[in-house]
Amino acid sequence: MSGRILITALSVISLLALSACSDGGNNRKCKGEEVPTERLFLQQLSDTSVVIKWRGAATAACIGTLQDTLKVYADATVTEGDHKQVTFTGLLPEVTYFYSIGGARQAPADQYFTTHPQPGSLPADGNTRIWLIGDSGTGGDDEREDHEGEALEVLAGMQAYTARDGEPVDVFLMLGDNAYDVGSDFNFQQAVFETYPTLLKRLALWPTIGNHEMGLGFLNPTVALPGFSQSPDPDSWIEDTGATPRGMPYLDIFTLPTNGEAGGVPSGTEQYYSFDYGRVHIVSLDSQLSARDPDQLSAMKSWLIEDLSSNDADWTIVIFHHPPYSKGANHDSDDTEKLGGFDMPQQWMREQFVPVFDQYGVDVVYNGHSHSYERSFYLTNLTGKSDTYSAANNAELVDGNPNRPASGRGTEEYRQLSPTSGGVDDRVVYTVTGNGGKADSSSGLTEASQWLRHPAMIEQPADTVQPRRRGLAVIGSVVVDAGPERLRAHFIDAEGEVLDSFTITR
Amino acid sequence: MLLVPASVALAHPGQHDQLQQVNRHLEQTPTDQDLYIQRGIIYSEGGQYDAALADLLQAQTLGEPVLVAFQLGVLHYRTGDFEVARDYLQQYLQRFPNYPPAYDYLARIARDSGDYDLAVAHLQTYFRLQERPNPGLYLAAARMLEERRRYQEALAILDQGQATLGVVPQLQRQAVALERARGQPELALARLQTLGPMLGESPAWRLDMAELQLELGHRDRAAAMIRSARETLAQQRPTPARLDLQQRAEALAAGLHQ
Repeated sequence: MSGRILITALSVISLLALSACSDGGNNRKCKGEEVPTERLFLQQLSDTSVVIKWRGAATAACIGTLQDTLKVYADATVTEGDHKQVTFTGLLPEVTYFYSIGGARQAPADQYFTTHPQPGSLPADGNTRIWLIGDSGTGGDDEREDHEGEALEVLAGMQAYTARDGEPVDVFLMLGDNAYDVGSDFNFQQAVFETYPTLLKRLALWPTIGNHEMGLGFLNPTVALPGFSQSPDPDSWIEDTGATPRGMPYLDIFTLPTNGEAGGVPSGTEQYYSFDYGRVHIVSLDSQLSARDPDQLSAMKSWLIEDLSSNDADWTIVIFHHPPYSKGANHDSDDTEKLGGFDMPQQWMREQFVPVFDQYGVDVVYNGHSHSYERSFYLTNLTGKSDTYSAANNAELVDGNPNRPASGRGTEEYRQLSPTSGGVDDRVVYTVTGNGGKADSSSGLTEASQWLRHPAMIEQPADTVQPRRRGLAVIGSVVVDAGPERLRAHFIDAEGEVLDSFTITR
Repeated sequence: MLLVPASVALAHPGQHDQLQQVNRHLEQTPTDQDLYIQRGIIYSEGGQYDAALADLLQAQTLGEPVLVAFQLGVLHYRTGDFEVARDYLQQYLQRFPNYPPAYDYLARIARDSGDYDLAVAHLQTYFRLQERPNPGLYLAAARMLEERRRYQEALAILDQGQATLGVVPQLQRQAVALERARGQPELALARLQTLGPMLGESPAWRLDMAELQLELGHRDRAAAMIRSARETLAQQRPTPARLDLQQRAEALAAGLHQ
């Protein structure tokens, strides 16, 4: 809780402008017992509000700024998937609140969160620390045989890294394929709620939709394969062959913003949304469903333009699952027409959305899907396949030298107002980090000579293959530190070691 | 029953791998309807329509024919046999009346056949069955009506969407354009105004407002909007979009004096 404000009991009454959305309000007392939950997590955390969500017998929650004397009680509403939910509004920015489930006056020691800074304000410690994991959902039975414990190793790597400076994560982002194999409620229970239980009590989880969130493929209620759905319809999710189609569990589990509840422009759908953390604006797009239908894609793009046009944050981060540039195993962004167009979203996102990112000041884009790490140069105007890339036309250059694309490291830090572009903010770093729960050990469907060799990606000194590739086939995750003057991004392995990093300055 | 268990199915196999898997299973259980459906789908999605049709027709003989009807409908839609596709989808809906994707395909068939009224009707059924309609589908319905210059009905669809989803820029912007297209700039202005707070009265929004104010002859209000947009833009870091807006602001400002 470094740099956070813990206010005193005396100030609670005057500062705690809490009001409960649910029936019951403050008339009832917090005097029950803590009730165990099957899952407990936070959603839509903002500078003034939070959604506390759980599954279990409890029907109320209490909140307060002192762990031993919670004062504000609220009855829960029952939501889809047999979840219970309470929304507290009127919270104060950057204040730590404790909470209990079931109406207890005392909060368990690990049940607390800190509200976001006001949009446009720097956090008290000056830095926003963001943890991003992709394709992390291997923590359950469906992937146990091949990837036992790997998601937890990645978590431990992040914790080892953050323990060095003692600064905790402020924002937790998941890049899709959050719960193998089909994104069922049971998959989420194991791969998310039982894998990150402590973190989820403290931080809101902001996810995006991966192909494995959409159950079995082919849209037929009798038969299909995991992760292959090409449907744009979330109600065509099926867990098993022969099952009747139903709504995707992802949307039942999460309560994501549709109306700008945590900042950003209302999207009208939980499939894509945005939110603010102080001076950082984060957008989650839907490359799995909305991208597969021209009308839905068009609507998402219109919304994104409105959202980015209204955004004046220091830093803008965009996440979605399918990488526009990747030579990861099985997911070569040059070969999207395979499997009857299964990976077409990679191409569509590149062709339709990359120009928007260039035009509207997006700084970094994070994707999953390929189970490896790849990080690009500081790119602009690259909407074609890898053979259309040239450093001269697409990369930030060192001293204008067309043969020297800048690395973003050391003396080659990127500048938001790109010198190569004449002082305009028109460049983006793209990172694939779909290795939060497993890493590929062979090239799969991608041509072996091409594996991890996309020319727009930077060569990785930590690679053990010679000649070194432009990617790393190891498990890990990304930590982004966004401060007032610089954004630093680090790829962290399972030991907590930094294997790649870059910096963008303002 | 999971015919191809998750542990057997590769996470991302290619079509060839998928076919190999299904063929292996078919060798063991050659009368399994689901496996023929599965192979038919693989062929269908890979564009091998004859092979797909053969497998799906074979599947019909190995179990309840209606279970194959949705995929036969999709296949015939892909091959352009709309009438046959429609029949299969209707058969499927008789058994599974609340399956939204079947209405989506019926809407596509009607749209591609030029019957926009029917397409919109199917989309309305889809909206009723689909718990969380995507904003883009309301846009799709509105665009069909707009194409026929049925602006009032198109606006009604957009408003229906916003009654369900809340006011969102994707739909309201389209409504603004429709109001302008049907010669109602005042109503367009009123709609655009509703977006101001949620868009943070961005420079882009202010210039759009200015353009409409100018169209209505409100030069002073337009001038104020342009001025405040330019002031904000001058304080923001330059992006290509903002540079375009600055040029647009200059052009609008020049128009004030004409």
